[in-house]
Amino acid sequence: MPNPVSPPAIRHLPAITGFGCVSPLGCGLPSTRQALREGADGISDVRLFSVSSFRAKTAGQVVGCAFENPQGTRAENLLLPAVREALAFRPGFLPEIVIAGTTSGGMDFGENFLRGHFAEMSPRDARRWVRGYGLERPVLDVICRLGIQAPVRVVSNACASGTNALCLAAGLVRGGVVRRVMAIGFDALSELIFAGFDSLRASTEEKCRPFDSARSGLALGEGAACFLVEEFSEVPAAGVLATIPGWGLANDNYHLTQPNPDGSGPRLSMQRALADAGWSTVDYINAHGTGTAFNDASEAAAIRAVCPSVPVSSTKGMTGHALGAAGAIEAAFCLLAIEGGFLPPNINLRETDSGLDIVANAARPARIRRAMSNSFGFGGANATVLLEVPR
Amino acid sequence: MSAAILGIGCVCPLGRDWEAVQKGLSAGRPPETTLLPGPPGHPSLPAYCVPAPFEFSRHPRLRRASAISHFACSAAAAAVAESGPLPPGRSALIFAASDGSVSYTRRFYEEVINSGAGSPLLFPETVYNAPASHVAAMFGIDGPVLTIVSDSTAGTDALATAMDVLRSGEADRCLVVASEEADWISCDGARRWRLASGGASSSHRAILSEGAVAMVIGAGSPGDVILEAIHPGLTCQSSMQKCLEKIFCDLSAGRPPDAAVLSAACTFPATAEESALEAVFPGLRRGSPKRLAGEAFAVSSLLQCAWARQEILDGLARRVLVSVLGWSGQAGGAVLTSSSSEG
Repeated sequence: MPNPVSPPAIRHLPAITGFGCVSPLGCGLPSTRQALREGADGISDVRLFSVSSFRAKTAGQVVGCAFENPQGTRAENLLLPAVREALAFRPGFLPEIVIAGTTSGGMDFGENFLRGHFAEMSPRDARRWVRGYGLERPVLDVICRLGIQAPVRVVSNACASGTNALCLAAGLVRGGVVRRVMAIGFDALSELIFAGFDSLRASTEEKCRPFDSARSGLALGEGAACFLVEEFSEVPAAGVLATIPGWGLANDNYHLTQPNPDGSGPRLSMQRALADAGWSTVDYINAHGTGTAFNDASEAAAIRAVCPSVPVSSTKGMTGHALGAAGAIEAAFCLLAIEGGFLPPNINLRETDSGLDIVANAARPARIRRAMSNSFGFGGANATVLLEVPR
Repeated sequence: MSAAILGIGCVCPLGRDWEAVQKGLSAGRPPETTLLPGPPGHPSLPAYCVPAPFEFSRHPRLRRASAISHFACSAAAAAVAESGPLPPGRSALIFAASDGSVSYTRRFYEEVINSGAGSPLLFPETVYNAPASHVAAMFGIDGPVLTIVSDSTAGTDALATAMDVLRSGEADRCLVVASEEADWISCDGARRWRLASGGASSSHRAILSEGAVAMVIGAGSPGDVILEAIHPGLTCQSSMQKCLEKIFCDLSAGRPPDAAVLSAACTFPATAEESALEAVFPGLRRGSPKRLAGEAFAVSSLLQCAWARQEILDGLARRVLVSVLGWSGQAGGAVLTSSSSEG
């Protein structure tokens, strides 16, 4: 149905009724849950392409995940099992729209196409690579394979994309525009992006250590997560995994690649999210926490200002930074933490200058009802989403 | 609340502002073709380019930005000049692109291939939301700033997202900008996909183009042109014609429009689009700026909306259907109407 021009006077509560996750910690929720609780290190030497000319040599890579379509992009093959896993929660779920967040879509095919101009490239391969490189293509291929007929909207807001997708999906349900949405975040490791972060010297040559006083940079990662979002009152209580009571977006306009050191962008997105939900605090914060000097300092300043005593962890020391997938993966981690009664650890921490209650190195038992997940990206994009387990 | 189009800005090969673009469209002459050189052993390919040099501003944020950001800022400035200032703290930006900063992306990756490392000056500008970041900084937008990427439907997806943001109360005004830059690698991709021509434009091959279109949307007043409906789109997995017929029926809501602005001119799905329109609204007057302006994906769909708005402002129609088709097989559309005929 076309969008109505006038705003509806309704405010529904968006609920998550299914989710799936593929990350360097596991292909699917059971293995991911265990690895998350154990503080597993999902970072390893890069095998997908040569890193001999780069400073950084490691990344979080998805391993042990059977690729259903070897002819497809890596992104499609990471996304497909996450979507399947989410749909298993609600057999027959037919989304009215799919909202996806990604930064690079089928970038591996784009790389092949460009490289093909400096080598041999058959016309057939060229067409396949051109067809597959667009950001929307992995999503279209996955939903087509699963027999889903729905419009696809792709948001590419750098590293906030996955959280943006979840917020947009929740917004459509809350506004009564649709009743069932699939929200996705995905990104596959690619040479171009790896070279990019290496060129900026944002990647670390050693361990990724979010919030450590001597942190030296991020490790890239990859993966996908998928959420089924529906209107709370239309779902049997037992089918509701969590609700999305609020979210906040903010843009800090400071610099294309660096956050404002005063933390104003992250602070505003967190404050807007809390105000949106009518909350004053949460039980746990999954931080963006990339492990770069500027990002972690800015985010820590914001958290100290908004929720100073809340336990915080960045899970990127375990997974690497999955860019457009990160927000979605980390929201999935929040759901696993809520369900499992533990705070995921912030691994590789030796000493912190953050002034925060960091969940250092080992998971902490905890009863979480309200969680916050932060995602911040290039361009000053800041997004915060809140999750709550219903009573 | 009405979602009215309060201002429009445009820069494209036909002109550097909306008035010049209209004149170019009325004159019926396509812009001059530029031949973009390819790598050794590959042919030069035609494109419609904004005459160089084009520098919107020497603002520090644009110091290293590529053409796509300059186009976006230029169109945005014109749209805001028409609409009036964006309300501080109550504005959003929705940016749309299909190929994004393709020129810097190609250059960066060529450097990686050839020398093992790419320039840190290029990489940040390759990120899809870099142009949006620059536009937001220019206008001090600290609310939602989102970049929507897809095939040509990115333009209408961006309008739909803007409507969602306005509806949610997160902003009172939304700046919607689509921008693209022409590059040889895009032309070659489109040529191999049989979307674009390797030579002159023909009935089934488009010439790729570049530029930007911006719109400010928000609460309107009598006389404004209204975005009556934006279709969320469909993914056409089987028949494109049937898909479009459904979209046209959904959008018209039982009231036939006075005119249609078509999307597929000069590309292979043109027959399906024409047939769908004929099946739903036989004999409806139709046109398409793409025949002259070329194919610029996300920009083209907003250019179609700008054309539809002008038809209404000029009194040529009261209600106009915009059809949008993308090369990924997605389709969408919009209906624009005069505020006096709404309802």
